[in-house]
Amino acid sequence: MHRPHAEPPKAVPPRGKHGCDRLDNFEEALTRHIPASDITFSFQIPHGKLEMSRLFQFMVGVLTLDIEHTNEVAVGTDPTLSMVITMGYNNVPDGNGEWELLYQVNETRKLSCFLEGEEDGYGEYYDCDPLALFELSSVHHKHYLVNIRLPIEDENLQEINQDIGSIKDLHIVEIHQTGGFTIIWLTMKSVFFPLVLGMMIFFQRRVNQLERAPLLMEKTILSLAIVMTFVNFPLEWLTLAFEIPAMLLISDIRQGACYAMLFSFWIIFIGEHMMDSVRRNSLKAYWQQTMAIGVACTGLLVFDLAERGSQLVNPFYSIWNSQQGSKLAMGFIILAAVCVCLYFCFLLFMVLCLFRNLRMKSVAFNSMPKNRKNYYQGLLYRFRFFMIFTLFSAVMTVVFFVLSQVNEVYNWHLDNEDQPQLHYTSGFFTGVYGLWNVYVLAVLFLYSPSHKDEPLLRQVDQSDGSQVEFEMTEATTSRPTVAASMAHPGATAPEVYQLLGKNAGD
Amino acid sequence: MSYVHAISAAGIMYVLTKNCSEGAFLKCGCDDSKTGEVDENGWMWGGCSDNIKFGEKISKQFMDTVEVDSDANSLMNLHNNEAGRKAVRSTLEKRCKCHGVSGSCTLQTCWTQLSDFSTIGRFLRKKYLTASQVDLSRGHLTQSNDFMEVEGDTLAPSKRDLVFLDESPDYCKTNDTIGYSGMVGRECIKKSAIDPTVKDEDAISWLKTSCSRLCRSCGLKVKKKRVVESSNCNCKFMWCCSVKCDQCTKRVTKYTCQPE
Repeated sequence: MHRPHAEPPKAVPPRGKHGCDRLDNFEEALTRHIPASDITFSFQIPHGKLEMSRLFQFMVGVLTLDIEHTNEVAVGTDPTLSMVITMGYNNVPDGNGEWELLYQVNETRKLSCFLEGEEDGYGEYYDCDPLALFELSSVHHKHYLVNIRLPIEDENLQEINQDIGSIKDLHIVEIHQTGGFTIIWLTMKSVFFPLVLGMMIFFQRRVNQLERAPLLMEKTILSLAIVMTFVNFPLEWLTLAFEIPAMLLISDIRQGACYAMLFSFWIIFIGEHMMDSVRRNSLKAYWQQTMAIGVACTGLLVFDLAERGSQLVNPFYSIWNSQQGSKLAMGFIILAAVCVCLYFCFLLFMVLCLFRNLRMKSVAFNSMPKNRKNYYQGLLYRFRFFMIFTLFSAVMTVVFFVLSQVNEVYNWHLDNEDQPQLHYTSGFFTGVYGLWNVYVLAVLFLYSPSHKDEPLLRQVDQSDGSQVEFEMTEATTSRPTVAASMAHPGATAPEVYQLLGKNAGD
Repeated sequence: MSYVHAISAAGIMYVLTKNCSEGAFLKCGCDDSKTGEVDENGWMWGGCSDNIKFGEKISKQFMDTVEVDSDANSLMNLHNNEAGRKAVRSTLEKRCKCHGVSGSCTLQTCWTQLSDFSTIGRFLRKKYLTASQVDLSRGHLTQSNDFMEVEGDTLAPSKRDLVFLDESPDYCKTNDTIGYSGMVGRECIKKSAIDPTVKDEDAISWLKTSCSRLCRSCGLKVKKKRVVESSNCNCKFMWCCSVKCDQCTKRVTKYTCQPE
C-alpha cells in the first residue's frame, strides 16, 4: 500500500531510493487523509537482487485479494473490481534506476468471493478466486514493476469499486517458464530440427526417383514432415537477443498446425490401408474428416488470434473478462470440441472397418503362392507395427498427462516437499515431444519408397501371370478371385500400394 | 497454554513468510535455500512459492531458544511450538493457473500459498480439543493415557498434536491471581437470537448450546434481560477507508449467567 509522490501516473517501485511513501495499513491512510485514488499497490518482479532472464520466455501474473469480512461491510452480490494499472521496466542492477513505462491501462475484473466457516466477527477473510492479471509473451527486461490503483470514481465521475468489500491487501503471483527447462527444450528442438529435416530430404528424394507421380500417402507424409520441421525450428533462440511479443501466438499456431497435421495424417494413413473397393488416393475422399479438423482448428485459431492478438497491444486483456467475449470464446471452443469428437468417431469407425478387412484378408493369404504370401504378409506386419506404434504414442501421451496430474496431487500431500512436481511436468513435456519426433522420423523412414521395389513388384506380379484382387465386393470376401484385368501389370501398382501401404519389399 | 504457544509460533512464522513473499527482506528469496541466502541457481531452475522455510527458521530461533531447560515444561512448550509451525505447513493452500494454448489446461502451474490466519487458528483449535496428556519419562515426552501403554511400550506423541502436562484449571471458578472472573456475568445466546445470516450448521449448533455450556455446566442460572440497544446498520464501506453507517435502535433479549 503506497502513495505515489507525483500526480502524473508513473510507475513507482515499492522500495528503494525512488520508492514510494509507505502505508502499513488503511487506518494509517485514514488518519493521514489520503484518498483511495491516491493509494497505489506496488509490486516489483522479481524481488530484491533477483533478475528476470530472457530464458523465462513468458510471464503470467495472477492477482489474489485479501478481503476482510466484518459485520458491517460485506462484498456485494456481483462485485466488479476496476483497476488502473501501470507497468514499467528497467534493466539497472538491483532495479534501483529509473523506470520506463511499458503499459498503462484501465481494466475491470469480476470478483468471485465466498466465505467459509462461521460468518461472525472480524478477522475472517473471504476466499476469492485468483484473477488472471496479465500475460506477457516475452520477458525481455530484468525488472518489472506493476502498480495498481483502485479509484473510487471513473472519468465520468461515476462511483466504482463500491461493493468490493474491505480490501486489506493485494498480491501478485508471477509464473514463468523456468530457465533450465527452456535450455533443455531448445536443445531438444535444435537436435530434432536437423534430424527431421534430413530425413525429410531423404524421403523426398526417394519419392522423386520413382517413375510414377507421388501418391496421396507420400504427399501426406511429406506434409507431416514439413509441419514437424516447422514446429521443431528453434525460433526461440532469437528471443535471447530480440523482443518478440508475438512469440506465444507463434508457438500456439505451431502447436495447432502440428495437431491438425497429425490428425489428418492418421485419417489418411488408415484410409489408404483400407483394402476395400473404394478408390481413394485423393484428399476429396476424406472431405468429411478433413473438414472436421479444419473447422476445429479454424475455430481455435480465431479464438487464439483474438486472445493473444489483443495481448500484443494490452497484456492485461483477456477475452474471458467481458461477457460477450467469453460467450464468443466458449462458442468457438464448443465448436472445436464437437468437431474433434466427430473426428474421433470417424477415426474409430475407420479403424474398426480396417480391422474387419484385415481379418478377412488374412484368410485370403492361405490360398496364395508362398513367395507372394510372404511378401504381402511382410507388408502387413509393417503396417500392424505402425498401427501399434501410433496407438502406443497416443496412449503414452495420455498416460503421461494423467500421471503428471496425479503426481502433482500426490506430492502436494507430502507437506515437507515443496515443489518436485515441477520436474515431473517438465519431464512429461520433453518426453512426449521427443516421442512424437521419433514417431515422425519412423514414418519417414519406414514409408520412404524403396528404389528396389519396382523390379520386385513386377516379379511378384508376374509370378503366376495374375494378381490377386483384394478389392473384392462384400459378397465374395471369403474367396479370393483372380482378377480378369491383368493385361497391364504396371498400371496396378498404385492399387497394390493402396492395398498394403507400401510397394516395397525389403 | 499449549494453544497459546502453538499459535504464537505459528503467528511468527506466518508473518515472516508473508513479508518474505512481499519482498520485505533482502535475505530471503526463493524457497530452496536453507541458509536464507538468495539462490541464483534455484531461481533459474526452480521457482518460488511462499518461502515458509525462512519463516520457520526464524520462528524457531525466536520461540525455541527461550526454552533452555530440559524439564517437562520446556519440552512441552517446544513440542507445542513445533506443532504450531506444523499447522502452518498443514494448512498451506495449493493454487493453480492454467496457461496452455489459448489458456487451455495443457499447461498448468501450481504454487503453495499460506491460507489466512483464521484457518490456522481453527486448525489449532481442533488440535487443542484432541490434545494428549504427556509425562516426562527418560528425558522424553510420552503419552500418559493408561490404555495406550502396551507392555511398557510408551508412545511418543505425534509432532502435529498439541500436548499438555496438567489439566486446564476449572474455568467456572474465579481466579484472582490471573485476573480471571469466572463465568458469572458471562453473556450467552439462545436460539432465537442467532443472526439469521449464519448458515453454517456447526456454528448454529455451537451457538445454540452456548447457555448450557457456559452457565449450566458451571451450576449457574441463565438470567433473561430485555434491553434497548443501538447499533450500526445499513453500513456502506467507502473504499478507502471509512465505513458510513446509520444508527438503529432495537429491543433485544440478553442472557447472562447468574448464581442461583
